[in-house]
Amino acid sequence: VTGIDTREELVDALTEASELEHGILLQYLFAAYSLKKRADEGLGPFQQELVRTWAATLTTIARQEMAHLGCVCNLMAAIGGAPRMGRPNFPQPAGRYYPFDFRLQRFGDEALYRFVCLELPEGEPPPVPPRRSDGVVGLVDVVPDPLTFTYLGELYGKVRRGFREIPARQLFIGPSHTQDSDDWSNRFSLRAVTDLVSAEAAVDAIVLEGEGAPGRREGSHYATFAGMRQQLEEAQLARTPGEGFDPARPVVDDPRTREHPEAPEAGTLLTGPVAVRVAEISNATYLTVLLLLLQYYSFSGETEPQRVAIRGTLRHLMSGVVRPLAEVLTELPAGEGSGGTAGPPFELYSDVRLATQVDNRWPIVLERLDATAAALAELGGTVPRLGFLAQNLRWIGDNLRAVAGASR
Amino acid sequence: MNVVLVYGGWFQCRLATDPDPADEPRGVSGYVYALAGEPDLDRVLRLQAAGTVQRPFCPAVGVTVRSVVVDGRPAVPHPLLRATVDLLDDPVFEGRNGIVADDGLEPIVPFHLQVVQGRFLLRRPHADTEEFPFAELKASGVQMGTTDIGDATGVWDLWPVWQERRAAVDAALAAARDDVTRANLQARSRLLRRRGLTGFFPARMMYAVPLTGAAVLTDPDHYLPGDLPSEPAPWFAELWLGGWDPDALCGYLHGSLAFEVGRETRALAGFTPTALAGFAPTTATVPRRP
Repeated sequence: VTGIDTREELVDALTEASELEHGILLQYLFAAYSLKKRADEGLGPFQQELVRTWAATLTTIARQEMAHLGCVCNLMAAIGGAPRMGRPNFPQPAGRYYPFDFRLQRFGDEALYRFVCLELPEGEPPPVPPRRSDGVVGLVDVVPDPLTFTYLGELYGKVRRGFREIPARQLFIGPSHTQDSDDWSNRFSLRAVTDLVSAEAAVDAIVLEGEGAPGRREGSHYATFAGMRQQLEEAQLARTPGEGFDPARPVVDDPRTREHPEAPEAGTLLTGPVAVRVAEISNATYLTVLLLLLQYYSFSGETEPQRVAIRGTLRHLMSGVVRPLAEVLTELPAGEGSGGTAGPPFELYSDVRLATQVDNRWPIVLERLDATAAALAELGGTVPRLGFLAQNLRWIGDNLRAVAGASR
Repeated sequence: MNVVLVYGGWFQCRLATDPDPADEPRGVSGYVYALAGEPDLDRVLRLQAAGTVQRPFCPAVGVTVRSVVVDGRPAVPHPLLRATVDLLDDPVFEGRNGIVADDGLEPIVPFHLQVVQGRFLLRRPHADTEEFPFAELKASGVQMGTTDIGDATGVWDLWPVWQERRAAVDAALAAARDDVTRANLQARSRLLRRRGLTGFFPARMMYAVPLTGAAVLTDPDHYLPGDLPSEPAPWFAELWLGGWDPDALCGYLHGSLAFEVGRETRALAGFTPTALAGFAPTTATVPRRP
């Protein structure tokens, strides 16, 4: 296999990077949302504070991964590629699509071990496997694809070299207005990519945040997860004899509402009626987020107020609906016999497809928001927080409706 | 006759901040947390002590009437001085992570203003029902207000206040024995080292809210110079909320409520025009003396 030296190969590599960043950030969010919060969940006062800092760190890193996904969209746009928001459903064993296991797992040593592996810099020693490993985690050497890599940084290294291989005048055909450098009111550092220098800087920033630099790993995702793993071990050793310390709710692995042919491995099929319905609504909201992201990064003639509204809607959906729904799920019984609670499945029931005509995209998204708001409102009597979220969704729809009719 | 009640004091609001969801109960990703031993965050804007979570070494909550002006003239002394001012029915900053309003512009929903002093009660809501997008209840903007906030609170820079408070917190921590108190104080000690968080202090959210709902006045002791008209015109509440202290989860509220009462020949309890009366409009607007 040779390196990347055509536009098509570079687009393929960036497609891979999009899926990876997307899938990785979901795994971090899943672990963060599984963490306990309250003293009545069995956390002592110091444990409560420690667990809160872990949740904050995980969500911060997940937000940085969102910015990485945005950077990859910029790199793609700069060379005339299309944004990619699809991905295979969870779980995915190492070797099928990616060189890593992709699993939704509650916070714990196994999840942290996998996170360290995901961010492992090339040349660093692999982490010590978890004591209770089920043997499914690990790195593999080969995937059945011409684009081979074992480390995330290795993939970005190939992308970086690919940008150098192809003459810049030939490669950078994307118009500069399709670059997103907004901070999304979230301190995202998205770099506009218009030439080789800015492309390399964008790639370097992603790798630096994930891996750090040789000899200077502190602050990187890799070092943060390794440190968190150490803290978890220390906290478990420091617990009062006879008392356990389990920082996470008993969230089942890889929850799902139905079977998926591209992910035949055993996830956990949710059967609790409320959990299934909330999980479906969570999936529907997640797909709405992806549709809006796809629209946002497709630059198809939306006006600036519309682009601002899409960005705001995405932010509002993430903080105001996706996360609270996920947290609600982690306290709902997954179903009879499982003994565990549900979690956000982040399931895709079909491919993520964007309407070709801009004017058609708005009613599709608004219909989805209205439908999910109505479905949540029906559950508000069962789980009060869902009524609050239904109101959020309805108001998000009202805000978007106000700008949707003003297509250029 | 036109009556203006000027009020001020510390309020508390235990509200998770972005990017935490607005209804986040403990605080994760923002800078506001419910600390060990404290109840869940509840978003409620409290102008009086009931229901607040008073952290040691922090200002006491309580908004009261500071001055009374009748037809443009300060009335000193006045029996409504130190009357409690409250917002009823669990009002919240209804920003919802920007869904309703961006940071600093959040509407206060509902806005049911009440003034109580003994048997005296004055109450009026913005409206009898509130609907999204709460346009009249949103802040009109955010302004820097170092001078006004310094005048009102006596604090011109929160950072030295925090340094002193941190010393007190650390001393309490050294003496604390139980884990809940220690975890609580440790978290505060860490927060009080974050100087950047004191940067909110000089900012003010500006509100001007017309009150048009059902008005209620109970004034058996004739504190006001007349009764409410049978169909009262809108009242106006102007206020700013600033001086945000992210450790105390308190801020300072300063404002006024302006409204009209009838010109009945009523004895005014304890009302004395001040020396400033000479600068005020002429006799036509002077309230009747007892």
